[in-house]
Order: sequence, then structure tokens, then C-alpha cells
Amino acid sequence: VPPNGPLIVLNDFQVLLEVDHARFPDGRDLLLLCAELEKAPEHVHTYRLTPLSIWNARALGLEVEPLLADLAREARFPLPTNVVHDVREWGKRYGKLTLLREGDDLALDIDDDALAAEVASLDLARRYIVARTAPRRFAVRTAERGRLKQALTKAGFPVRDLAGYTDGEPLALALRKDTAAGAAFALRDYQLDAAGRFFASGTARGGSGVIVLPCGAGKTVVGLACMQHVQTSTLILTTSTAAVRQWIAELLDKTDLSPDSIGEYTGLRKEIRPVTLSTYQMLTWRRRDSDSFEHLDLFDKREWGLIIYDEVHLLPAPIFQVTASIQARRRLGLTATLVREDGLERDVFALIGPKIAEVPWKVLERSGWIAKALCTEVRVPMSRGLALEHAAAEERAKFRIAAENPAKLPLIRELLARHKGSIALVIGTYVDQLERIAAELELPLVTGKTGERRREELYRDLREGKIRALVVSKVANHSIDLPDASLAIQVSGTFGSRQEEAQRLGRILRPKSGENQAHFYALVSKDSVEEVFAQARQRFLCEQGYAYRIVAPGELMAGDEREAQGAEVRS
Amino acid sequence: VSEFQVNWGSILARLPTWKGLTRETRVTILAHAASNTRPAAALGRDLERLLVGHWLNLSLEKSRAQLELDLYPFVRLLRALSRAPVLSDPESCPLEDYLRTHFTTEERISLVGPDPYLSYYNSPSATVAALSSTSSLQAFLGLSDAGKYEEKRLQGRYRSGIERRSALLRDHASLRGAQALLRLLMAEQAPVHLDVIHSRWNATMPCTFAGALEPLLSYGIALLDLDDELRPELGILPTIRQRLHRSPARAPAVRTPRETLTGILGLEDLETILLELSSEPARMKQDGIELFARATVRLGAALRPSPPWVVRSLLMFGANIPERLFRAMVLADVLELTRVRRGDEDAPYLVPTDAARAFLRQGRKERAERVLEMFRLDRIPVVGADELGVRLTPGRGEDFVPDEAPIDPAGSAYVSPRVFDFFPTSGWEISRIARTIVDLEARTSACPVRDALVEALSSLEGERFLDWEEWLEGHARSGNPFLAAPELMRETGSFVPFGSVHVSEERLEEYWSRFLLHIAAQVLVPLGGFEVGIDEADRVALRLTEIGAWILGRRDDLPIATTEPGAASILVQPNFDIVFLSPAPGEEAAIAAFAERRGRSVGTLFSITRASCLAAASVGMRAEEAVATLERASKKGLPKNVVSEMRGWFAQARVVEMRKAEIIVCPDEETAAKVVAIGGTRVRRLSELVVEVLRGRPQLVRAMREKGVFVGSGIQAPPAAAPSAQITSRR
Repeated sequence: VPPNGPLIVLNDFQVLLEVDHARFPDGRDLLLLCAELEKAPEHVHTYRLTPLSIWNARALGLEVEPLLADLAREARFPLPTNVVHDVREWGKRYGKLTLLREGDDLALDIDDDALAAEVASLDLARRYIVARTAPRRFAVRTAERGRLKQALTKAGFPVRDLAGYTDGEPLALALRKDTAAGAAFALRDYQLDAAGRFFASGTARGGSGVIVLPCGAGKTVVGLACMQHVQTSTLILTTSTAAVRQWIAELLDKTDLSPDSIGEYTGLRKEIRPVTLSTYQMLTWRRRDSDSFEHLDLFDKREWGLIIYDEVHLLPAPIFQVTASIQARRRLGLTATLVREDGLERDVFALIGPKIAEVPWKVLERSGWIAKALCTEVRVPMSRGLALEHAAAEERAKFRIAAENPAKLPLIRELLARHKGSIALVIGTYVDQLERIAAELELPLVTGKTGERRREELYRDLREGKIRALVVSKVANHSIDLPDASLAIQVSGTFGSRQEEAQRLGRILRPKSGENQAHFYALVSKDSVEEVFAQARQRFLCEQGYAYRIVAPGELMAGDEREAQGAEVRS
Repeated sequence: VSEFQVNWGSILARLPTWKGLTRETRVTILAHAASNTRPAAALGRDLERLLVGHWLNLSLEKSRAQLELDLYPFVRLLRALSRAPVLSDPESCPLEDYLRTHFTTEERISLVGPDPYLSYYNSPSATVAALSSTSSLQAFLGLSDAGKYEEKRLQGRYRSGIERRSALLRDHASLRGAQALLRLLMAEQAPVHLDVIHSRWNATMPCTFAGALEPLLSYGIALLDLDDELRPELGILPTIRQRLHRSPARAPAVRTPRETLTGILGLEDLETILLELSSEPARMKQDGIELFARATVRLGAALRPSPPWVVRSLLMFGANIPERLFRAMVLADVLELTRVRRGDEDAPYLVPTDAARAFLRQGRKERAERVLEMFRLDRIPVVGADELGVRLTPGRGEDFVPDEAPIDPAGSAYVSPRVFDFFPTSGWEISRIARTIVDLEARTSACPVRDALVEALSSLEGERFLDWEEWLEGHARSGNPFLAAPELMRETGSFVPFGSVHVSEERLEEYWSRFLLHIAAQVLVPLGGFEVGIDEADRVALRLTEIGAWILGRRDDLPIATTEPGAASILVQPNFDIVFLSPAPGEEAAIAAFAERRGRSVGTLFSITRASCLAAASVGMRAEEAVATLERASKKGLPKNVVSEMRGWFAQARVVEMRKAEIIVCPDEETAAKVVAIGGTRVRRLSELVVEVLRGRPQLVRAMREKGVFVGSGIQAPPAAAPSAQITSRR
């Protein structure tokens, strides 16, 4: 009789986890080690076993047979034989190939004669191998360390990289006990743990990898903690200039670094200092498609000992190429999800490193480290005239007509009034619409046209409570830290982009004092094409585990408290 | 003329010299046509020996050599032997090729002796079968009077006059000599060089060596070829030799599987097919029997794939997708769970019946019982000979051709009246066995085959996995009821219309082995009676499960846990996914009506989408019905956003009527008004100039004509002139 566990392992490698099962936490903790979370709606979470997830587990030191035994113990039905077979096969592959330092060169050690023969015959790998120095050992050019790992990982042979790192220029850095702003500061347990795993006591077993934390869990602080461990000059790459500024603010606020040891390498400034921050866009900028990337040599302009890739799931291809050639430097990836829209997860594994830590957001929410969020979609009716215009319009025009439904405006006013004490963001896609809203509600506006300085001022004012609400375009999607924002009203989206939804919601997930509750409202025109796109968002947010409700404007206020309570009970 | 009708004395006399030649010389001699000259130098140090032995003539210049004329038959024979290495390389040269090389068609027909059926059909495989058995050799050894045996083979019904020849076993001594030689060959573990066995032949033997050799070769009892060194070797067919010298059957080894396959795949397939058909009927060809390829592919893709190692194994017949689909469709038909419904334009579709929905709503044990009951051995009546005969000859009388028999009657007679549906044609010989046994059972009221089957399969009961091929081989040799029935070994049969067939021990072993294989692959593996495993060395092993024991009638209660219908764990998630935490085919069939399928059996089986709701609405389903179905099935309350969206989507559905209509297009409003006035209730005005004809077209046309409104092909007529209207048909 199979044990009645919380997991159901399917023969397509999906693993279902029943949330209401008494042994849910056991199942979840097990899957965090060996599977990728695909979706986490209310009742049943879906994970997937992949070669990468198993290699990640092996990189964490787990053995396959105990892992399978644990899966079998927590599973409701016997494990499908094909899953057992493939997991064994994947697991066996990790650890067979090890990259070691041999004097000034590198050696690839292979723990199996047949595998050595297979690797020797792989065209992709052969081009990076200098010679076969022993039946199971190959000499590898130091410069090809990353590309060899990338090629072998692609061919299904993960490489354990124990070749070590260069120390880089030393940099004295310590985290403060009190922030520069005067608040008490200490690393949270999970941040401490993640940074410790990354450093691995300075051995070659650590020093590269990816830390997966949900939005609002303090990934930046984990980065700072890793820097404190390594004590070396650091290059930090982020997604935008605003994020660069945010990192600089954090560095100054929470470490003892002086401003002159921190450099900003962006469109505005080209400073290269012991800690330098830049953006992916900056490094991959070129005048024409046929030109080379002018700023990519930033990687070589200093003896960096650590490179931090913020939002590593957005890492662009040219950065991968450079990263392949700088494998002797410590590398840290930070992200909320390992899933990449371009499917290059294997390159992240090979070039940045395996996943070294992940904390589920529900755990953080329960501990109060991130806010609880309630998502509400308000179906706003269109006037008869607008409905007819919408019906007669072409497909693409329909979306804009629905998105700019003027009936949304009074609702925004009502919501802001309803959450009067909250710091609010009104988020939209169409600048015309945002300008109208900002003018009508007399709120400041941030769009792509707003200068960097003005943006910083407005964010600061919002953080300091000088203003209570801000109308923002999609420039605010990434890495804007507005810790106390607890209300987001989305008036228009970009055709249901999942990435955008996650980022927008992430803006309000920083822990709040008091009830620690965030509200995310999406205003959608009823009976319009916007509903179809909203459906994608609805699915996505539900799959992220957020409570989601659909209401008419009239039901909005009446059901608000009750729904929040319901969401609390569910979570 | 027979290849072996030569002067054997002369041939045998040449062998010592041939043996003394180098291989290269032998190759050189055989490489050229006997009459051609060849460079003398190519014969190297053997040249002298060949000249001394009078094998060669040299040309005047001494540079080229030619074979002596009397050597031609020897060389011709050896060249022929080299083309059919039936003893030295049986893989590349099976017996069939050997026979074709050395015997004419008529000779081959004659080889099988008195069997007119084989003669008539000249079936090469049947000829081979007749020669490739120990019993054919034993029969020869048992001859005391060669006359009858030889007469058919020498003269043959179809032999031309020129091929008819005098007796080879012309006297008793010849027969005893041939039998002695055969015994010598049967005692050998390998073929023997012709010169060696010739040298062993002495004066005490009943006849000359040549006298013994020729009949054996001419009747295909002994075989002759050249070994790798091009020396003639004599022997019996390798498979017979192996059989004569094989070691006793061993108990099958216990294996430790690295992977196993278990479960009632056949039931699962049946349920899958019914669920697929619930979601979308399968389009059939106009005959209402065969599915269109696309439907076949769709249904096949829905079945859970078997592990490749099972499909590659001997059990493949039970595991590959086409077979499984076929079986599931037959089962559904037999159980009356599907029917053919005629749709638009009389197109036939395969759809589930109400009984199918009721079947899917039953608990798993009940469903399994319904299917497995048909295969339970101890409850299946033995089919009488008459019934079997009818099955074998559906709609046929005396013109019945055995190899067109559509079924494998062994299965139909001894496993289930239904099982015949599972068996593809597998040859007519086995049908003779089945028929003979049916006769036997009818006479003795015993069921030897079923008893033997149960006994054999029961040996696989237990926790251990036994090597399948070893088990099969062992059981073909011991406990084989066919071998125990002497009737089967007779040379004359009672029911094959054209005469009899020689059924050898080898064939009986093979048939029983095939029979066991069929039962395993077609019944016990698909129905969960066997758990199949594969070990690290890729050896397939089996064990009989408790379900298997039930099918064999060795236990009374079907060992499947009873589940209450509707007790399955189904959860509707806020992201519109419907997750089944345990299988629930009844609910699955109901939900399939308004949700998009994503998976099967367990997991995220459905997703509710706008399209799926609109599709359900299009066939008349209401939102509340769908919501109620979900509420009944779901273990938890339905998420509000899901209910809200479903209601919204159902509400968006609009039903319009599309029909052919006949309209009257008028040149002006006045004419249109006039037409309306004339038509009355027979017409309806659609617009200023267009009037629809609702009924009574001929009367309307007549009435309009009487009032001066004519139906024409244009509407250009001026209003002042007699107006004309145009009637068109629009859809």
C-alpha cells in the first residue's frame, strides 16, 4: 500500500504538492531541493523534476538514492518507473566530471572510462580541450573554462568546477549594525544562510551560484552579505539605472563603504571604483548592430574578485559570452525565479553556477518578511459609446480603447480614498492616460521622459512620506525600492506580460508595519479585449499563490475587508 | 536434374587430393568455370600435385592450366555447395536457401512426401518445417520398408517425366545403410568432413557409403556444404542437432528488476478511449467500422506510452500503441460502451453510449471486474468443436482455405469466447492443434490445455521475478500439453480439407511457447496479471500478480480496493486548473464536456477556458450545469473568480440560426410592397427591396404573375413597365 503522502509524481516529471495535506511542509522542503516550482495556486502546487533541478540538488550535496527514497516516502502513488530511471541517470551524471586546477592550467577529470571516451568524441567539447593527458584526464585551456562547462552542460554532462578563483583586489567592507539612516540592521536568518552557502568558507566548493528569493525578500542585502564574506572588489550588474542607484543607496546605508569607493558606470557617469555598478543595457550597448559592444571591457578594467548579477533571469546573451571567459572570478546570481523566458537556464547553471539557496515566499510571508498581498480585478463597465467604438475597432486598437476607459478614473480616486493611509502607486502603460490621471488627481508622474534626478526626488519623497501616491509608467517595473508602498492600482498593462505583473506586484511586497497587507488592484474594462489579457494575469498571479478576486465596482468596497480576511485564512 | 545425382564414387575418390591442397588453390579452382583455363602460377606449389593426380592439363606454353574433363562434376558440385553454407553459416543460409540452391521446385514439392496440401501450395516454409524436425529424422530411422516413403518423393505428383528417377533405397541394405549413416551424423555434435566420415565407413556397413549418402542428400535428410576451408562437410540441420544435444531445461533464473511495469493497462486504455470520445467523437470512415487516420492518431496519442523496453521485448504485442488501441476499441464494442452515430451529412462518428458513462461512474473495482470477468479462465466454457468450426470458417463451406483463417482459434477456444478479438491471424497449423484438442475435450470432458496453462502460469506466482525467456523455453519443453497429446503427432488430420500436415515436436514446442506468449502478452500483461520487470542486463522478467492469480481462477476475490464512486479528490484551482489527486473517470467524463483537457488520469487534467465554456454553451449546456458539476466533484469550494469567469463566458455565447432562404430582390420599394401584398403570410419583408419567401413558392410565383410581377434574371426593368423581381437563394 503506497504511503498517503502530499506528493503525486507524474510520469511527465511534474510533481503535484497538495497544500492542505498535513505533510505539506515536508513535501515542499523536499521539492525545494530537487525540483523547480512551476506554479503555486491555492490548493495544489506544481513542481517539475529536470536534469538541472537534479544537478542543483547534487551540487548541494544530495545523493540520488536517498532523494528518490524521500520522494517515494512523500508520494501518494508509487513513483513512475521512467521518472526513477531518468532521475537516477541525471543524478549519476553530476560529479562525474570535475574541473581542477593543475599548476597554471586546468584539468578535466572524468570518473568513468566510457564517459571519458564519450566526452573525447564530442565535437563541442573537443575544441576546448588541449590534450588527453591520461585515460580519464584532459588538459583544458584556462580561457576556455566557461565555454567547456557550457558545452558539456548543454550535452548533458554537468561539470563540478573546483578550479578555484582569483582573489581580486582586496576591499575592506563590513555591514553596519545600525544603518546610516539610524535604524537597527541585522541580516535575517535566511539571508545569513544564503550568503554562508555562497561563500562556503572560502573554498572552491562555493564562490559561484544563484540565490533565489522572492520579490521583497532582500536580495540586495544578501548581495551585500556575500561581499562582506569575500572582501574583494566587486562589479554589480543590474537591470536599470534606477536599480543601480538603489544598490548604491543600500551600500551606503548598510555597509561602511565610503561614497568614493563606489562607482556608477551608466549613461550618465563612467566611474570605475572598487565597487562598481552598471546595467546590462549599458554593457550591451553599441552604436550599430554591426559594431562591437563598447563597454563590455568593463569586466577587464579592474581585477574584480566578485561579480553580482542582479535579476539573473534577465541576463542577456552577450553577458553570458563574457561571463564564460571570466570563470576565475566569483559569481553571484540573484533572482526571484530561475525560469527564463528564453530557456537558457542551462547557461545560468554552467556559467553563473548552481542554485545555492531558495526560500519559498509563503515562508517569508508567514514570518512577516514580505507583505501579504490581495489581488483584486475590478471589471469597469464601458459607456455605450465606448463599447460600440471598441466593438468596431481593429484588434490592437481595441486594447487601447479598453485600457483608457475614462470610467477607471473615478474608481482610482475612490480606491485612493479608501486606502487613504497607504503609500500608493498608480501604474499604467499609456503615457497619455497616465498624464490625464496625474492631472485629474493632482499626483506627480514618473515616465520614461522624467529625468533621473527628478525620478530620484519623487521616489525619495514617496519613501519619506512627503507624497502619498505616484503615477508611474513601466519605468518603475524593476528594482525600485519603495519599502512602504502597500497599494498598487494598475490601470493598464502590456498585453498580459507575466514578467511585468510579477515586478509590479513586487513593488508593494516589502514588509509593512502594522497589518503587513498589500493591495493590488487591476482595473479592467468589462466585456472588452482587456478581459482576455487580464485572464493571463489572473492565471499567473493565482499560480504565484496570490488570492485573486473579480468584482464589479459596486462590490468593491463591500467585499474588501471580507476578502482580505479570506485571503489571510487561505495563506 | 538433382544436384546430388552424381557419381559419388568418383567424387569421394577425389577428396584426399582436395584435402591436401592449400586453401588458395581450392579457391582458384572453384573461382573459375570448370572449363576455363587459369594461370598455372596461381596454383603455386600445388601445381605439381595436381598434374601428378591428373587433375590438370597444361597449355603448350605451360603458362595456363585447365581442369581435366572428368573433374568437372566434382568442381561443379563443390561450387554449388559453396553457395549454400547451411551447416557452416546457418544464419546467412537458412534451410530454405539451401533447398532452393540444390533442388528444383518439383523436387522440393516432392521432398515433403505425401502431403498434398503442401504440394499444392508449394509453401517453402511448410517444406522447411517438414524437414527441420527431429521427428522427420526419427520417421526415416523408423522406416522398415522404404517403398511407400520413396515412391512419392521420387515420382511426385508434379514431377516432370525427365525428373522421375529410379529408387535410391532400392533394397533393404540401402535403407539400413542410409539409416546407419544418419545415426552417425545424429551422434555428432558438429558437421563432419565428408572424407573423414567416408574413411570411417567400413565393410561391416550394410551398403556402400555412396549408396547411403545419396538418398540422405536427395531427400534433404542430411545436408552437405563447404566449410571455411572449402572442404565438404556433412551433417544434419543445425537446429535439429542442437535439439538432439541440448541440455535439460533449467529452472528460470530469478532477476532483480531495475524497472517494472504494472497496472491494468487494458482497463486504463479502455477508460482513456471512452474519455477521449466523451471529449470529442472519433470520425469514422463511411463503412462505420474503421476510424479515420487522424482519429486513430488522436486516440493512440491519448494512451499512456508503455516503457520502450516492454515494447521491444517479446511482450510487444500487448504493449505497442496500435495493438492497445485496437484492443481497447474491441473491448468497448464488446461491452457495448461505444456505438456509431451518424452526424452531419450522414458521417459516422464513434461515440460513447450511456452505458459508458455509467461504467465510468462505477468504482474502480467494479469497472475492473466488468472487464476482467471475460478473461477469467475457470469461468469460461470450453468452446465446442462445432462452434470453433464456425469461427474458423465464417460463411464458408468446402472452399475454406485454412491460411485465410481470420483468428487464432487456440486463443478463442481456451481463453475466452471474446479473446479471439485480441488475436491476429497466426497461421493455420495451430488451428489444427486447437481443433484436435477441442475434439479431444469433447470426447473426454477434460480441459488439458486450460489445466496446463494454469499450471504453467502459476509457477510465476510470488514476489520473485523470473527470467521470461528461460521460463518460456522451459515450459515449452515440460508440461506442454500438445506434446502429451499423441493425436497431434499423427500424419493424417481429420479437418484440414486438403489432407494432413506433419506436426513435429519442435513445432509443438513452438506452438505451446507461442500460446503462452500470447496469453502473457495479450491477456495477462495488459490486464495487470503480470508485473513485468527489466534488470540491469536488460533481461525481461515476470511475476504473476494477485490479479493474475484471480484471472487463472486461483483466488475468488478480485484483489482491487473498492472505491466509492465520486470519492476521488478533485480540486478546482483559482488559476482555472482542475487537478485530480486520484483517478475518477466518471467525473473526468463529465468535466470533459466543458473544460480543455491537459492531462490524463491523475494531475492537472483540465483547464477551464473561455473557448471550452463557449464550446459547451454551443451544444446547449448552461453555466449553472457546469458549475454544479464542478461543485459536486470538487473536494473544496470553487474559487469565486473561476465561477465568476465561467458565468461570464457562458453568458457571452449567442445562438443564431443558419438556414437556406429564398429571397425576392425587387427593383423598387413599390414593387416590394406589391410582392408583400400578394404574398401575404407566405412572405416577409427583410428590407426596402428584399422580401423573403417563407413557403408556397409555386403559388406565390403564380399569384405574382397574375398581378403582373414576373420573376426574371435582372431587376433593371423601369418602374413604369411591368415590374420583375428576382428570386435568389441565399444562405
